[in-house]
Amino acid sequence: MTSPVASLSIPDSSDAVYSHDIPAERPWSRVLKKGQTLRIVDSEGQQAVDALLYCADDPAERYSAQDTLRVQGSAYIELGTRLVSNRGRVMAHMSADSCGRHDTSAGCCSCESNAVRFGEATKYQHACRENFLLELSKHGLTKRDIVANLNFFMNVPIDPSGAFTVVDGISAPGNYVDVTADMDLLFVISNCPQVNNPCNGFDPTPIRVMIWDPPKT
Amino acid sequence: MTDQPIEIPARRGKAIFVSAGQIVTVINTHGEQVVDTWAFNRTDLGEFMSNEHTRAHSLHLVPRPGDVLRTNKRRPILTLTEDTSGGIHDTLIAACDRYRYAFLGVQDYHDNCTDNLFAGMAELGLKPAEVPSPLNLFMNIPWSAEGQLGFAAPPRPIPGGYVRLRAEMDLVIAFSACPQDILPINGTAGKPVEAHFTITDERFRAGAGA
Amino acid sequence: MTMARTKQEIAEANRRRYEALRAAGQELTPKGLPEATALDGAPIAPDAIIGREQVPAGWYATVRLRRGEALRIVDDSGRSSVSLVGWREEDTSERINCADTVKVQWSAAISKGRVILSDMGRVLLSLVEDTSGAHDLLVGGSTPASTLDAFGTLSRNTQENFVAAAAKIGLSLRDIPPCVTFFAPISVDTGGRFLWNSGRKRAGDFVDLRAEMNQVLVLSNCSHPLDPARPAAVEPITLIRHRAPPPAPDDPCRTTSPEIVRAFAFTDRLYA
Repeated sequence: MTSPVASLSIPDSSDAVYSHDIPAERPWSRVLKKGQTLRIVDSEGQQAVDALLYCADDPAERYSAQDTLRVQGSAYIELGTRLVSNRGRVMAHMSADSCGRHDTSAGCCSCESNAVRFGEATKYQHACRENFLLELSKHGLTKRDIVANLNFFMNVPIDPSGAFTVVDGISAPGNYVDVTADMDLLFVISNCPQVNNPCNGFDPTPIRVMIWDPPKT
Repeated sequence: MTDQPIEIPARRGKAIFVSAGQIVTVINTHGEQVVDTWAFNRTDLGEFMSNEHTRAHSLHLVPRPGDVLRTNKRRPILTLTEDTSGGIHDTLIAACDRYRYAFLGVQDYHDNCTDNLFAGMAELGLKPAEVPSPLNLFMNIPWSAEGQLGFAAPPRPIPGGYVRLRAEMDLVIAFSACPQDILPINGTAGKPVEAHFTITDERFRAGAGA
Repeated sequence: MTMARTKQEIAEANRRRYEALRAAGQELTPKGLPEATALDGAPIAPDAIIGREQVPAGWYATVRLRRGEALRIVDDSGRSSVSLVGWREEDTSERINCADTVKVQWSAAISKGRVILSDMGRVLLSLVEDTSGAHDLLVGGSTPASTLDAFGTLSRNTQENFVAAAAKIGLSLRDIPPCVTFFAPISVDTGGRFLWNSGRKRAGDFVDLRAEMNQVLVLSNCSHPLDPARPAAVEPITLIRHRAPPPAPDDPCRTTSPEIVRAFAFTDRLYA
């Protein structure tokens, strides 16, 4: 596992051009300009943050989990990972990571998959896909635009036999990831409401997002 | 001919007769094992596969599918037709011998490819007059633009990866599963293991689908 | 009598339930999966065959299946890989979902007895026969960039095949989800790197996919982007559409785990 290393030029919070606390279980979205950095802070620890990225000029081009993993040749999202689109372009990159390892193969929770995994009684619990649908509808996008997402602070080891497990997150309170945009993009977050598996420590909590402009050259 | 894989035991050599037209498939069974490979004209051990002569014609430092491997008389002896092993091989480094391991600090006898060549050929009642420069299959010897060489571990293991060689004359082919366990050429774990090969008449197809 | 539970008690109950599902899913279920099909096994009765076609290397085919029909995909040469995406016929917003497939079955390694799920908690396809068990759900298919990387020149690729096929049925780039690739022996090593296990590919390997809903599938016969084989495969693959026998009550694909039993219950409701 990579040791947690933040970039040397950690932006001072007072420089941030935007800061917002996302309540537990809620979605959020914003357009990032090329060069801006988004910091996602796991304020209370062990909170999975699902994310999707869309090219601001043409949302048919969007984050592709499979293209991202293929390009890097390995299965986990880490410091340095380039987030690649379904047209093969680098949309953004992980520029800081105090946690160590994130997932992009487990997808988002949904009412429909919860019913399969945990029983029909869980069908009417709030889920990330509901968040994505609501937030994407503000931008004229629909369920057809929801594809495999990023899962920050979510720990999903895949072992050589193929065994695939969502386990307790390793993220402590205050952990953060920085994502720096390599193109103008729409960043969509679902602050995951899942209480049926360990991804949120069985307790969804608020997170904070902050945005910095690119450093002046 | 046998399509049953023949083992090149870990740290040991193996040699076999091959007829013109047959296909030798050399399999990197566990994905990281270097296999030193030699080929001799069956009727004249003084004519053998030569890296220097091959390179003059192919102009490749590393043989790739389509390349003709030539003898010291510049005649084709093997053609490399297929490579699923990742394409990394070496033609520059001499076969290791007991003196190599002395340089690496080993006091006692250490298994080595040179002795393995002689042992493998001796099983067939043959004795080569010299040790040709081997084709080092699956060996990673990267070079820099400045001409600096290095001994490196395989960049990624491909278990079951293989190279297919078509015999262009009646020949003897000899292998050594390199016993190097100090440098990382057999993987960072430094653990020499066995590899395998098959001899078939032509591309052998198993199964027939529905 | 119901008692109000504290948040803590609910969390603990959920953790216990999750752990029980995980233990069953990762320890018990794999033991009950059927053995791989023999290379010369599971012959299809000639009168069950609806259609047969070959797809040349680099190309794609679009196949409509009705629930209860099956598609055999054959890697005749042992050098091909076949990527697949699919949509529900009656509502193409419902489509294959590789993440749910892996998550619900607790494994990225699908084999005989496993299923492929849609994104609506239903079963798209059952793997009723499988000689290989070496398929990829994580890395995806080739793209123009990946072929340039692999071969030094742009070649036909799965991404463009899917775009073309989708366009012919009124869908677009937006509708193309992550794909599964059959006969692509990918695993993940302890450091997280993808490994290609060449030894797991054989000439004549096949899978039989039984349709659990009416659907449209696109198959792309292109080398997997991590396949190291050179030269790349030039051989065609064979597709055989046929009528599968109706599933018995103890059908292996329908009974592997409580999660899968539920997924089938939800799927069956579409056709009740």
